[in-house]
Amino acid sequence: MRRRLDSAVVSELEAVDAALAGTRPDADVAAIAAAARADAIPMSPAFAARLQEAVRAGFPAAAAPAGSRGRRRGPRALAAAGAIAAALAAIVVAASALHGGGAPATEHVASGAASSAGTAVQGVPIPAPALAEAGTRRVQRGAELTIATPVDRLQDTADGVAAIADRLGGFVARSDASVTGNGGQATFDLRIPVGRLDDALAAISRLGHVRSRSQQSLDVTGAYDSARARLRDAQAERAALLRALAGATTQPQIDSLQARLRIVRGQIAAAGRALDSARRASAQAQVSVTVLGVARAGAAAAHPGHRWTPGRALHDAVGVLSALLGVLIVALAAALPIAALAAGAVFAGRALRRRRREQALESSSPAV
Amino acid sequence: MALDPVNTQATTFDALYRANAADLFSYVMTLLRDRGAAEDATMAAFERAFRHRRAFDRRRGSERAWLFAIARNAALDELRRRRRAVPAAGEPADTGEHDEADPLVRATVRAALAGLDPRERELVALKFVAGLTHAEIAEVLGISAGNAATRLHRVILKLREACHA
Repeated sequence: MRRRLDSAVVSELEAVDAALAGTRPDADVAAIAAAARADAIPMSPAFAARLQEAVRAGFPAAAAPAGSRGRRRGPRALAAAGAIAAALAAIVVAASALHGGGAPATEHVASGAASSAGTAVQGVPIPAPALAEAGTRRVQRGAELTIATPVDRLQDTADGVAAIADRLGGFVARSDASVTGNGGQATFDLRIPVGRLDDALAAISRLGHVRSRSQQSLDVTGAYDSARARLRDAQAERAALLRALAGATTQPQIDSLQARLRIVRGQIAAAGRALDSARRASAQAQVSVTVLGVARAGAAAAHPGHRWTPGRALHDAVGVLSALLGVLIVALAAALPIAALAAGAVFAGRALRRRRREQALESSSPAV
Repeated sequence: MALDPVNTQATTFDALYRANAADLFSYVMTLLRDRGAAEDATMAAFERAFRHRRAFDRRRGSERAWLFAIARNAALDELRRRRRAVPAAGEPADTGEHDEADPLVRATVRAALAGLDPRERELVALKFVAGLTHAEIAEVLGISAGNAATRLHRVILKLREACHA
Protein backbone atom coordinates (compact mmCIF):
# COMPACT_ATOMS: atom_id res chain seq x y z
CA MET A 1 0.00 0.00 0.00
CA ARG A 2 1.33 3.41 -0.92
CA ARG A 3 1.89 5.81 1.91
CA ARG A 4 1.93 9.56 1.59
CA LEU A 5 5.31 10.99 2.37
CA ASP A 6 5.70 13.40 5.21
CA SER A 7 5.87 16.99 3.92
CA ALA A 8 9.18 17.55 5.72
CA VAL A 9 10.69 14.59 3.93
CA VAL A 10 9.37 15.79 0.60
CA SER A 11 10.64 19.33 1.04
CA GLU A 12 14.01 18.09 2.25
CA LEU A 13 14.46 15.84 -0.76
CA GLU A 14 13.33 18.60 -3.12
CA ALA A 15 15.84 20.93 -1.52
CA VAL A 16 18.61 18.39 -1.92
CA ASP A 17 17.71 17.75 -5.56
CA ALA A 18 17.61 21.49 -6.25
CA ALA A 19 20.97 22.02 -4.55
CA LEU A 20 22.58 19.17 -6.47
CA ALA A 21 21.15 20.59 -9.69
CA GLY A 22 22.55 24.01 -8.81
CA THR A 23 19.21 25.75 -8.90
CA ARG A 24 18.97 26.47 -5.18
CA PRO A 25 22.24 26.93 -3.23
CA ASP A 26 22.51 24.88 -0.04
CA ALA A 27 25.83 24.99 1.77
CA ASP A 28 25.16 21.80 3.73
CA VAL A 29 24.26 19.80 0.66
CA ALA A 30 27.25 21.20 -1.18
CA ALA A 31 29.53 20.15 1.68
CA ILE A 32 28.00 16.70 1.88
CA ALA A 33 28.24 16.21 -1.87
CA ALA A 34 31.82 17.46 -1.91
CA ALA A 35 32.82 15.13 0.91
CA ALA A 36 31.05 12.17 -0.65
CA ARG A 37 32.63 12.79 -4.02
CA ALA A 38 35.99 13.31 -2.45
CA ASP A 39 35.66 9.93 -0.78
CA ALA A 40 34.55 8.27 -4.00
CA ILE A 41 37.32 6.10 -5.34
CA PRO A 42 37.71 6.18 -9.12
CA MET A 43 38.52 3.26 -11.37
CA SER A 44 42.16 2.66 -12.06
CA PRO A 45 43.12 3.36 -15.68
CA ALA A 46 44.10 -0.27 -16.14
CA PHE A 47 40.72 -1.59 -14.98
CA ALA A 48 38.89 1.06 -16.97
CA ALA A 49 40.68 -0.09 -20.09
CA ARG A 50 39.99 -3.74 -19.31
CA LEU A 51 36.31 -3.07 -18.68
CA GLN A 52 35.95 -1.02 -21.82
CA GLU A 53 37.58 -3.77 -23.85
CA ALA A 54 35.22 -6.34 -22.34
CA VAL A 55 32.22 -4.17 -23.20
CA ARG A 56 33.51 -3.65 -26.71
CA ALA A 57 34.10 -7.40 -27.17
CA GLY A 58 30.66 -8.26 -25.82
CA PHE A 59 31.91 -10.06 -22.74
CA PRO A 60 33.32 -13.27 -24.20
CA ALA A 61 33.14 -16.36 -21.99
CA ALA A 62 36.76 -15.97 -20.91
CA ALA A 63 36.02 -12.57 -19.40
CA ALA A 64 33.43 -14.01 -17.04
CA PRO A 65 34.57 -14.43 -13.44
CA ALA A 66 35.16 -18.05 -12.57
CA GLY A 67 31.99 -19.77 -11.51
CA SER A 68 29.62 -16.96 -12.38
CA ARG A 69 28.24 -18.82 -15.40
CA GLY A 70 27.43 -21.91 -13.36
CA ARG A 71 25.83 -19.86 -10.64
CA ARG A 72 23.68 -18.06 -13.16
CA ARG A 73 22.53 -21.22 -14.85
CA GLY A 74 21.85 -23.12 -11.65
CA PRO A 75 18.39 -21.74 -10.82
CA ARG A 76 17.30 -21.94 -14.45
CA ALA A 77 18.42 -25.54 -14.73
CA LEU A 78 16.64 -26.29 -11.45
CA ALA A 79 13.47 -24.61 -12.66
CA ALA A 80 13.62 -26.48 -15.97
CA ALA A 81 14.18 -29.77 -14.18
CA GLY A 82 11.28 -29.01 -11.87
CA ALA A 83 9.01 -28.20 -14.78
CA ILE A 84 9.96 -31.42 -16.56
CA ALA A 85 9.44 -33.43 -13.39
CA ALA A 86 6.04 -31.81 -12.87
CA ALA A 87 5.02 -32.55 -16.43
CA LEU A 88 6.16 -36.17 -16.16
CA ALA A 89 4.36 -36.62 -12.86
CA ALA A 90 1.20 -35.15 -14.33
CA ILE A 91 1.38 -37.48 -17.32
CA VAL A 92 1.99 -40.51 -15.11
CA VAL A 93 -0.87 -39.60 -12.80
CA ALA A 94 -3.20 -38.92 -15.70
CA ALA A 95 -2.25 -42.15 -17.42
CA SER A 96 -2.69 -44.20 -14.27
CA ALA A 97 -6.03 -42.52 -13.59
CA LEU A 98 -7.23 -43.35 -17.07
CA HIS A 99 -5.91 -46.88 -16.94
CA GLY A 100 -7.02 -47.81 -13.46
CA GLY A 101 -9.71 -45.44 -12.31
CA GLY A 102 -11.66 -44.54 -15.39
CA ALA A 103 -11.67 -47.69 -17.44
CA PRO A 104 -15.02 -48.42 -18.99
CA ALA A 105 -16.71 -51.73 -18.27
CA THR A 106 -15.79 -53.19 -21.61
CA GLU A 107 -12.06 -52.75 -21.08
CA HIS A 108 -12.27 -54.25 -17.62
CA VAL A 109 -14.15 -57.22 -18.96
CA ALA A 110 -11.76 -57.66 -21.84
CA SER A 111 -8.80 -57.94 -19.52
CA GLY A 112 -10.71 -60.31 -17.29
CA ALA A 113 -11.68 -62.49 -20.18
CA ALA A 114 -8.09 -63.01 -21.14
CA SER A 115 -7.36 -64.68 -17.81
CA SER A 116 -10.73 -65.96 -16.87
CA ALA A 117 -9.76 -69.61 -17.10
CA GLY A 118 -8.16 -69.69 -13.69
CA THR A 119 -9.17 -66.52 -11.89
CA ALA A 120 -12.33 -65.55 -10.11
CA VAL A 121 -13.79 -62.07 -10.38
CA GLN A 122 -12.84 -61.21 -6.81
CA GLY A 123 -9.28 -62.23 -7.53
CA VAL A 124 -9.50 -65.48 -5.57
CA PRO A 125 -7.82 -68.30 -7.43
CA ILE A 126 -10.23 -70.99 -8.48
CA PRO A 127 -9.54 -74.32 -10.06
CA ALA A 128 -9.65 -74.61 -13.80
CA PRO A 129 -12.55 -76.72 -15.08
CA ALA A 130 -10.40 -79.82 -15.30
CA LEU A 131 -9.27 -79.41 -11.72
CA ALA A 132 -12.80 -78.86 -10.53
CA GLU A 133 -13.69 -82.37 -11.62
CA ALA A 134 -10.52 -84.05 -10.49
CA GLY A 135 -9.48 -85.25 -7.04
CA THR A 136 -11.60 -84.57 -4.00
CA ARG A 137 -12.28 -80.87 -4.60
CA ARG A 138 -15.68 -79.94 -6.03
CA VAL A 139 -16.29 -76.35 -7.09
CA GLN A 140 -19.57 -74.87 -8.17
CA ARG A 141 -19.04 -72.18 -10.80
CA GLY A 142 -21.35 -69.45 -11.95
CA ALA A 143 -21.27 -66.39 -14.18
CA GLU A 144 -23.35 -63.32 -14.92
CA LEU A 145 -23.19 -61.60 -18.28
CA THR A 146 -24.97 -58.55 -19.64
CA ILE A 147 -24.73 -57.71 -23.33
CA ALA A 148 -26.30 -54.96 -25.38
CA THR A 149 -27.61 -55.33 -28.88
CA PRO A 150 -29.77 -53.21 -31.17
CA VAL A 151 -33.36 -53.69 -30.19
CA ASP A 152 -34.26 -54.98 -33.67
CA ARG A 153 -31.75 -57.77 -33.19
CA LEU A 154 -32.91 -58.70 -29.70
CA GLN A 155 -34.77 -61.81 -30.86
CA ASP A 156 -31.84 -63.05 -32.96
CA THR A 157 -29.48 -62.51 -30.08
CA ALA A 158 -31.77 -64.33 -27.66
CA ASP A 159 -31.96 -67.23 -30.07
CA GLY A 160 -28.20 -67.18 -30.30
CA VAL A 161 -27.87 -67.50 -26.52
CA ALA A 162 -30.11 -70.56 -26.44
CA ALA A 163 -28.29 -72.08 -29.40
CA ILE A 164 -24.94 -71.65 -27.70
CA ALA A 165 -26.19 -73.39 -24.55
CA ASP A 166 -27.47 -76.25 -26.63
CA ARG A 167 -24.34 -76.51 -28.76
CA LEU A 168 -22.08 -76.72 -25.71
CA GLY A 169 -24.07 -79.44 -24.02
CA GLY A 170 -26.04 -77.23 -21.69
CA PHE A 171 -29.62 -76.11 -21.55
CA VAL A 172 -31.85 -73.15 -20.80
CA ALA A 173 -33.29 -73.57 -17.31
CA ARG A 174 -35.36 -70.39 -17.50
CA SER A 175 -35.83 -67.52 -19.94
CA ASP A 176 -37.82 -64.33 -20.07
CA ALA A 177 -38.07 -61.64 -22.75
CA SER A 178 -39.83 -58.30 -23.02
CA VAL A 179 -39.81 -55.43 -25.54
CA THR A 180 -40.98 -51.94 -24.59
CA GLY A 181 -40.90 -48.81 -26.76
CA ASN A 182 -37.34 -48.14 -27.84
CA GLY A 183 -35.81 -50.96 -25.88
CA GLY A 184 -36.29 -54.39 -24.41
CA GLN A 185 -34.48 -57.16 -22.67
CA ALA A 186 -34.22 -60.91 -22.42
CA THR A 187 -32.90 -62.87 -19.45
CA PHE A 188 -31.67 -66.43 -19.43
CA ASP A 189 -30.71 -68.88 -16.71
CA LEU A 190 -28.40 -71.37 -18.37
CA ARG A 191 -26.76 -74.58 -17.22
CA ILE A 192 -23.50 -75.17 -18.97
CA PRO A 193 -21.04 -78.03 -18.40
CA VAL A 194 -18.26 -76.63 -16.26
CA GLY A 195 -15.64 -77.58 -18.79
CA ARG A 196 -17.36 -75.46 -21.45
CA LEU A 197 -18.12 -72.42 -19.32
CA ASP A 198 -15.39 -70.24 -20.77
CA ASP A 199 -16.34 -71.22 -24.30
CA ALA A 200 -19.94 -70.32 -23.56
CA LEU A 201 -19.05 -66.92 -22.10
CA ALA A 202 -16.80 -66.12 -25.05
CA ALA A 203 -19.46 -67.13 -27.57
CA ILE A 204 -22.22 -65.18 -25.85
CA SER A 205 -19.97 -62.13 -25.54
CA ARG A 206 -19.59 -62.08 -29.30
CA LEU A 207 -23.34 -61.70 -29.75
CA GLY A 208 -23.34 -58.05 -28.61
CA HIS A 209 -21.56 -55.31 -26.72
CA VAL A 210 -20.60 -56.59 -23.28
CA ARG A 211 -21.84 -54.24 -20.58
CA SER A 212 -20.77 -56.32 -17.60
CA ARG A 213 -19.41 -59.71 -16.86
CA SER A 214 -18.57 -61.49 -13.64
CA GLN A 215 -17.80 -65.01 -12.50
CA GLN A 216 -18.14 -66.68 -9.13
CA SER A 217 -16.94 -69.92 -7.65
CA LEU A 218 -18.11 -71.81 -4.57
CA ASP A 219 -16.39 -74.79 -3.02
CA VAL A 220 -19.08 -77.50 -2.45
CA THR A 221 -16.66 -80.24 -1.49
CA GLY A 222 -17.90 -80.26 2.10
CA ALA A 223 -21.54 -80.63 1.12
CA TYR A 224 -20.70 -83.39 -1.37
CA ASP A 225 -18.57 -85.35 1.10
CA SER A 226 -21.18 -84.95 3.82
CA ALA A 227 -23.96 -86.31 1.56
CA ARG A 228 -21.81 -89.19 0.46
CA ALA A 229 -20.92 -90.11 4.07
CA ARG A 230 -24.58 -90.00 5.07
CA LEU A 231 -25.46 -92.23 2.16
CA ARG A 232 -22.70 -94.69 3.00
CA ASP A 233 -23.72 -94.82 6.68
CA ALA A 234 -27.37 -95.27 5.79
CA GLN A 235 -26.57 -98.05 3.33
CA ALA A 236 -24.43 -99.81 5.93
CA GLU A 237 -27.22 -99.53 8.49
CA ARG A 238 -29.74 -100.91 6.00
CA ALA A 239 -27.47 -103.91 5.33
CA ALA A 240 -27.17 -104.55 9.06
CA LEU A 241 -30.91 -104.22 9.48
CA LEU A 242 -31.53 -106.67 6.66
CA ARG A 243 -29.16 -109.14 8.24
CA ALA A 244 -30.89 -108.70 11.61
CA LEU A 245 -34.28 -109.11 9.94
CA ALA A 246 -33.17 -112.39 8.42
CA GLY A 247 -32.32 -113.69 11.89
CA ALA A 248 -35.39 -112.32 13.65
CA THR A 249 -37.61 -114.94 15.29
CA THR A 250 -40.39 -112.99 16.95
CA GLN A 251 -43.03 -110.79 15.39
CA PRO A 252 -42.21 -107.75 17.54
CA GLN A 253 -38.56 -107.99 16.44
CA ILE A 254 -39.58 -108.19 12.82
CA ASP A 255 -41.93 -105.21 13.13
CA SER A 256 -39.33 -103.12 14.87
CA LEU A 257 -36.67 -103.91 12.30
CA GLN A 258 -38.98 -103.19 9.37
CA ALA A 259 -39.97 -99.83 10.88
CA ARG A 260 -36.35 -98.93 11.25
CA LEU A 261 -35.70 -100.09 7.68
CA ARG A 262 -38.35 -97.68 6.39
CA ILE A 263 -36.65 -94.79 8.13
CA VAL A 264 -33.25 -95.78 6.83
CA ARG A 265 -34.55 -96.11 3.30
CA GLY A 266 -35.83 -92.51 3.56
CA GLN A 267 -32.43 -91.40 4.76
CA ILE A 268 -30.74 -93.19 1.87
CA ALA A 269 -33.03 -91.48 -0.63
CA ALA A 270 -32.43 -88.05 0.91
CA ALA A 271 -28.67 -88.55 1.00
CA GLY A 272 -28.75 -89.74 -2.58
CA ARG A 273 -30.64 -86.64 -3.70
CA ALA A 274 -28.20 -84.38 -1.85
CA LEU A 275 -25.29 -86.19 -3.42
CA ASP A 276 -26.79 -85.85 -6.89
CA SER A 277 -27.46 -82.19 -6.29
CA ALA A 278 -23.88 -81.56 -5.20
CA ARG A 279 -22.58 -83.52 -8.14
CA ARG A 280 -24.72 -81.60 -10.59
CA ALA A 281 -23.75 -78.30 -9.00
CA SER A 282 -20.10 -79.01 -9.54
CA ALA A 283 -20.59 -80.44 -12.99
CA GLN A 284 -22.75 -77.67 -14.42
CA ALA A 285 -22.16 -73.98 -14.17
CA GLN A 286 -25.09 -71.64 -13.67
CA VAL A 287 -24.94 -68.77 -16.12
CA SER A 288 -27.26 -65.75 -15.95
CA VAL A 289 -27.43 -63.84 -19.21
CA THR A 290 -29.18 -60.52 -19.73
CA VAL A 291 -29.56 -59.25 -23.27
CA LEU A 292 -30.41 -55.55 -23.45
CA GLY A 293 -32.07 -54.26 -26.58
CA VAL A 294 -31.02 -50.64 -27.08
CA ALA A 295 -31.86 -47.96 -29.60
CA ARG A 296 -29.93 -48.23 -32.83
CA ALA A 297 -27.78 -45.10 -32.38
CA GLY A 298 -26.59 -46.23 -28.97
CA ALA A 299 -25.62 -49.67 -30.12
CA ALA A 300 -24.06 -48.77 -33.43
CA ALA A 301 -20.69 -47.70 -32.14
CA ALA A 302 -20.59 -50.51 -29.63
CA HIS A 303 -21.14 -53.17 -32.20
CA PRO A 304 -18.53 -53.48 -34.88
CA GLY A 305 -19.79 -53.63 -38.39
CA HIS A 306 -22.61 -51.14 -37.91
CA ARG A 307 -22.81 -47.95 -39.96
CA TRP A 308 -20.76 -44.97 -38.84
CA THR A 309 -22.99 -41.95 -39.38
CA PRO A 310 -22.20 -38.21 -38.99
CA GLY A 311 -24.26 -38.24 -35.81
CA ARG A 312 -22.22 -41.15 -34.54
CA ALA A 313 -19.04 -39.30 -35.50
CA LEU A 314 -20.20 -36.22 -33.60
CA HIS A 315 -21.00 -38.40 -30.62
CA ASP A 316 -17.54 -39.96 -30.80
CA ALA A 317 -15.91 -36.55 -31.14
CA VAL A 318 -17.68 -35.33 -28.02
CA GLY A 319 -16.55 -38.47 -26.24
CA VAL A 320 -12.94 -37.96 -27.29
CA LEU A 321 -13.01 -34.32 -26.24
CA SER A 322 -14.55 -35.27 -22.91
CA ALA A 323 -11.80 -37.81 -22.35
CA LEU A 324 -9.15 -35.25 -23.26
CA LEU A 325 -10.70 -32.75 -20.89
CA GLY A 326 -10.60 -35.36 -18.18
CA VAL A 327 -6.94 -36.01 -18.87
CA LEU A 328 -6.22 -32.29 -18.73
CA ILE A 329 -8.06 -31.89 -15.45
CA VAL A 330 -6.24 -34.81 -13.88
CA ALA A 331 -2.93 -33.55 -15.22
CA LEU A 332 -3.67 -30.08 -13.92
CA ALA A 333 -4.61 -31.47 -10.54
CA ALA A 334 -1.27 -33.24 -10.38
CA ALA A 335 0.78 -30.41 -11.84
CA LEU A 336 -0.65 -27.56 -9.78
CA PRO A 337 0.65 -28.66 -6.38
CA ILE A 338 4.03 -29.45 -7.87
CA ALA A 339 4.14 -26.12 -9.65
CA ALA A 340 3.08 -24.39 -6.45
CA LEU A 341 5.86 -26.14 -4.55
CA ALA A 342 8.37 -25.24 -7.25
CA ALA A 343 7.22 -21.62 -7.26
CA GLY A 344 7.42 -21.54 -3.48
CA ALA A 345 10.92 -22.97 -3.58
CA VAL A 346 12.01 -20.38 -6.14
CA PHE A 347 10.42 -17.59 -4.11
CA ALA A 348 12.00 -18.83 -0.89
CA GLY A 349 15.35 -19.19 -2.63
CA ARG A 350 15.21 -15.61 -3.87
CA ALA A 351 14.15 -14.33 -0.47
CA LEU A 352 16.97 -16.25 1.20
CA ARG A 353 19.51 -14.96 -1.28
CA ARG A 354 18.28 -11.41 -0.80
CA ARG A 355 18.42 -11.77 2.96
CA ARG A 356 21.96 -13.13 2.80
CA ARG A 357 23.01 -10.22 0.61
CA GLU A 358 21.57 -7.74 3.08
CA GLN A 359 23.24 -9.56 5.94
CA ALA A 360 26.53 -9.37 4.08
CA LEU A 361 26.11 -5.60 3.78
CA GLU A 362 25.22 -5.20 7.44
CA SER A 363 28.16 -7.27 8.57
CA SER A 364 30.64 -5.37 6.42
CA SER A 365 33.19 -3.32 8.33
CA PRO A 366 32.49 0.30 9.20
CA ALA A 367 34.11 3.06 7.30
CA VAL A 368 37.63 4.15 8.19
CA MET B 1 9.97 -3.46 -23.93
CA ALA B 2 13.61 -4.31 -24.67
CA LEU B 3 16.36 -1.74 -24.79
CA ASP B 4 16.51 -1.43 -28.53
CA PRO B 5 16.48 -3.52 -31.68
CA VAL B 6 19.27 -6.05 -31.89
CA ASN B 7 21.36 -4.17 -34.44
CA THR B 8 21.62 -1.13 -32.19
CA GLN B 9 21.93 -2.87 -28.86
CA ALA B 10 25.71 -2.87 -28.83
CA THR B 11 25.80 0.87 -29.39
CA THR B 12 23.13 1.46 -26.76
CA PHE B 13 24.91 -0.67 -24.22
CA ASP B 14 28.17 1.11 -24.92
CA ALA B 15 26.43 4.41 -24.21
CA LEU B 16 25.01 2.98 -20.99
CA TYR B 17 28.46 1.83 -20.00
CA ARG B 18 30.09 5.20 -20.72
CA ALA B 19 27.45 7.12 -18.82
CA ASN B 20 27.59 5.00 -15.70
CA ALA B 21 30.88 3.12 -15.39
CA ALA B 22 32.64 5.66 -13.16
CA ASP B 23 29.73 6.20 -10.79
CA LEU B 24 28.98 2.52 -10.70
CA PHE B 25 32.51 1.64 -9.72
CA SER B 26 32.50 4.25 -6.97
CA TYR B 27 29.23 2.90 -5.63
CA VAL B 28 30.48 -0.68 -5.68
CA MET B 29 33.67 0.48 -4.03
CA THR B 30 31.59 2.06 -1.29
CA LEU B 31 29.96 -1.29 -0.63
CA LEU B 32 33.05 -3.48 -0.87
CA ARG B 33 35.87 -1.16 0.17
CA ASP B 34 38.29 -3.37 -1.68
CA ARG B 35 39.58 -2.41 -5.10
CA GLY B 36 40.06 -5.94 -6.38
CA ALA B 37 36.62 -7.02 -5.21
CA ALA B 38 35.06 -3.86 -6.60
CA GLU B 39 36.68 -4.46 -9.98
CA ASP B 40 35.41 -8.05 -10.07
CA ALA B 41 31.91 -6.98 -9.05
CA THR B 42 31.82 -4.12 -11.54
CA MET B 43 32.94 -6.42 -14.34
CA ALA B 44 30.36 -9.00 -13.30
CA ALA B 45 27.65 -6.35 -13.15
CA PHE B 46 28.29 -5.10 -16.65
CA GLU B 47 28.50 -8.65 -17.96
CA ARG B 48 25.16 -9.55 -16.33
CA ALA B 49 23.60 -6.40 -17.68
CA PHE B 50 24.95 -7.13 -21.14
CA ARG B 51 23.66 -10.69 -21.14
CA HIS B 52 20.25 -9.71 -19.81
CA ARG B 53 19.86 -6.43 -21.69
CA ARG B 54 16.89 -7.84 -23.63
CA ALA B 55 15.07 -8.49 -20.36
CA PHE B 56 15.17 -4.82 -19.38
CA ASP B 57 11.71 -3.29 -19.21
CA ARG B 58 11.67 0.49 -19.34
CA ARG B 59 8.22 0.54 -17.77
CA ARG B 60 9.69 -0.85 -14.56
CA GLY B 61 12.29 1.88 -14.14
CA SER B 62 15.27 3.62 -15.61
CA GLU B 63 18.23 1.88 -17.21
CA ARG B 64 20.49 3.54 -14.69
CA ALA B 65 18.57 2.16 -11.71
CA TRP B 66 18.41 -1.26 -13.37
CA LEU B 67 22.19 -1.24 -13.85
CA PHE B 68 22.87 -0.11 -10.28
CA ALA B 69 20.56 -2.83 -8.93
CA ILE B 70 22.52 -5.43 -10.86
CA ALA B 71 25.75 -3.95 -9.56
CA ARG B 72 24.45 -4.00 -6.01
CA ASN B 73 23.58 -7.68 -6.24
CA ALA B 74 26.96 -8.45 -7.77
CA ALA B 75 28.73 -6.46 -5.07
CA LEU B 76 26.84 -8.12 -2.24
CA ASP B 77 27.47 -11.54 -3.77
CA GLU B 78 31.13 -10.64 -3.92
CA LEU B 79 30.97 -9.43 -0.33
CA ARG B 80 29.46 -12.72 0.77
CA ARG B 81 32.14 -14.66 -1.06
CA ARG B 82 35.04 -12.75 0.23
CA ARG B 83 33.71 -12.09 3.71
CA ARG B 84 36.21 -9.39 4.15
CA ALA B 85 36.25 -5.66 3.76
CA VAL B 86 39.82 -4.58 3.67
CA PRO B 87 40.29 -0.84 3.14
CA ALA B 88 42.20 -0.17 -0.04
CA ALA B 89 45.74 1.01 0.52
CA GLY B 90 46.12 4.76 0.36
CA GLU B 91 42.39 5.30 -0.16
CA PRO B 92 40.06 7.04 -0.07
CA ALA B 93 41.77 9.65 -2.13
CA ASP B 94 40.58 13.21 -2.19
CA THR B 95 39.90 14.03 -5.80
CA GLY B 96 40.16 17.74 -5.13
CA GLU B 97 36.65 18.44 -6.42
CA HIS B 98 34.25 20.91 -4.77
CA ASP B 99 36.99 22.72 -2.96
CA GLU B 100 34.76 25.75 -2.65
CA ALA B 101 33.42 24.32 0.65
CA ASP B 102 34.94 25.33 3.95
CA PRO B 103 37.82 22.88 4.59
CA LEU B 104 36.83 22.61 8.22
CA VAL B 105 33.22 21.84 7.36
CA ARG B 106 34.32 19.37 4.72
CA ALA B 107 36.58 17.59 7.17
CA THR B 108 33.73 17.43 9.66
CA VAL B 109 31.35 16.04 7.08
CA ARG B 110 33.88 13.47 5.93
CA ALA B 111 34.25 12.35 9.51
CA ALA B 112 30.48 12.07 9.77
CA LEU B 113 30.39 10.09 6.53
CA ALA B 114 33.00 7.74 7.89
CA GLY B 115 30.84 7.16 10.93
CA LEU B 116 27.81 6.07 8.94
CA ASP B 117 26.76 2.46 8.89
CA PRO B 118 27.04 0.54 5.60
CA ARG B 119 23.41 1.10 4.61
CA GLU B 120 23.67 4.84 5.20
CA ARG B 121 26.94 5.06 3.28
CA GLU B 122 25.24 3.25 0.43
CA LEU B 123 22.44 5.82 0.37
CA VAL B 124 24.94 8.67 0.31
CA ALA B 125 26.84 7.08 -2.55
CA LEU B 126 23.69 6.54 -4.56
CA LYS B 127 22.39 10.05 -3.95
CA PHE B 128 25.44 12.32 -3.82
CA VAL B 129 27.92 10.43 -5.99
CA ALA B 130 25.73 8.61 -8.51
CA GLY B 131 23.02 11.28 -8.44
CA LEU B 132 20.05 8.89 -8.43
CA THR B 133 16.58 10.09 -7.57
CA HIS B 134 14.95 8.62 -4.52
CA ALA B 135 12.66 6.59 -6.81
CA GLU B 136 15.70 5.13 -8.53
CA ILE B 137 17.32 4.46 -5.18
CA ALA B 138 14.21 2.58 -4.13
CA GLU B 139 14.45 0.49 -7.27
CA VAL B 140 18.11 -0.28 -6.64
CA LEU B 141 17.51 -1.28 -3.04
CA GLY B 142 14.33 -3.18 -3.78
CA ILE B 143 12.23 -1.12 -1.38
CA SER B 144 9.35 1.28 -1.76
CA ALA B 145 9.94 4.84 -2.87
CA GLY B 146 8.51 6.13 0.41
CA ASN B 147 10.85 3.94 2.41
CA ALA B 148 13.81 5.08 0.34
CA ALA B 149 12.84 8.72 0.79
CA THR B 150 12.46 8.33 4.54
CA ARG B 151 15.83 6.61 4.89
CA LEU B 152 17.49 9.21 2.73
CA HIS B 153 15.92 12.00 4.75
CA ARG B 154 17.27 10.56 7.99
CA VAL B 155 20.80 10.33 6.62
CA ILE B 156 20.66 13.86 5.27
CA LEU B 157 19.46 15.16 8.62
CA LYS B 158 22.30 13.37 10.33
CA LEU B 159 24.83 14.89 7.94
CA ARG B 160 23.29 18.37 8.21
CA GLU B 161 23.73 18.16 11.94
CA ALA B 162 27.36 17.22 11.36
CA CYS B 163 27.77 20.31 9.18
CA HIS B 164 26.70 22.52 12.09
CA ALA B 165 28.46 20.64 14.84
